[in-house]
Amino acid sequence: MTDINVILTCIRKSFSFFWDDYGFHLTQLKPRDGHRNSGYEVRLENEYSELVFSSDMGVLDEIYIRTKGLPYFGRGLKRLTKLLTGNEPKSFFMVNVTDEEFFDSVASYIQPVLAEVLDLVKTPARFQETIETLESARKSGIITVEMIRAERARLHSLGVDSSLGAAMENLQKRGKSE
Amino acid sequence: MNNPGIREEIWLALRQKWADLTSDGHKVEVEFKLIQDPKDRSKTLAIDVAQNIDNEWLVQTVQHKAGEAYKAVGIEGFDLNPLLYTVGQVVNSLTEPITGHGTVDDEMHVFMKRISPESAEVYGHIISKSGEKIGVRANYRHYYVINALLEEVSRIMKEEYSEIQLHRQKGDNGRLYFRFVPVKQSGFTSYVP
Repeated sequence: MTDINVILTCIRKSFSFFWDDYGFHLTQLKPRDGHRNSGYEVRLENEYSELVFSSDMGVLDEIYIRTKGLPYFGRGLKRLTKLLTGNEPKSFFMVNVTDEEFFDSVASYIQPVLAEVLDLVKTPARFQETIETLESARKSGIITVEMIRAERARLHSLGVDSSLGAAMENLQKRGKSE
Repeated sequence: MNNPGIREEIWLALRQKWADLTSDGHKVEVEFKLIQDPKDRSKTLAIDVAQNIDNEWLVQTVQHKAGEAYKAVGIEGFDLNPLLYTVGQVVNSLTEPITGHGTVDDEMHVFMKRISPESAEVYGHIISKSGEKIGVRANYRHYYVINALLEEVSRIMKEEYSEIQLHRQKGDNGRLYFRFVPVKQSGFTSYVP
């Protein structure tokens, strides 16, 4: 079982980009329940967003992200990464690795989508709308991750807005007109 | 009022604070308690400056030398796990005289604001079951343990905090959680020489 010493040390080391690149700071440490070693929530904040590392029985099981100050939690990064990249969150369930290897793996897993997600979170309504659209698109199978990537590349080559939101909007318009 | 042995900058800041409060019409009473080294009673490890401001206690502990008394208090070398456990115990010692022995279910808020590496103010209150706000009076024991926890978290996370808050919510099975205020958020100024 990983204790809180190790969890904090590994978060600081493996996710140092949260501090260096995004200006996050530790703001809260909260046990999951009244019993010791049952897990902790470690909250980081920057100017506009909050991240919560949630551990259960000493194992990191999710990282949540939300816009700062809103009363509800946003989304877990496992789900967001799957929505945005199509990658399955296998690395969250790795066994027989050192704590440092585990945290490094999780950090490298989420880092590709982080800039995008942290940009979206600045505008709560856009964040919510984009995620809900991605969720329904995945369920319907109409818009795939590969289609999103291709559309974004196309928009980028045209020198226009190639953000996730712009790509989704184009694909949806195209889907309605077809 | 004579300086009981506090570093001059801190003493002057305290005197100014009391003068400002008094001139603004606040009621201020001050008590000093010298904490001696149990192995050498001639040596003062710290001074508790207990301030009753408008009937609410705020205790500023000033160490003779930062961290010098951790061994005497019994927390030298503690990492985060024993510190978290010990903080829970000292917080109970702060609240149980008011709420009763063994009761951990009352809403409680304790704050420690750092003045310098060797000094901080500790204050807080309990919200009783009837909704009454009751202030608590801390002492050097609470300061040392909470400060050691703050320093250990600061070391691990590689950042400085000007304040640590300890909160307990009613009906939450005594769960104690901690908020950390990073230095630049509060305009913290340090007397570090």
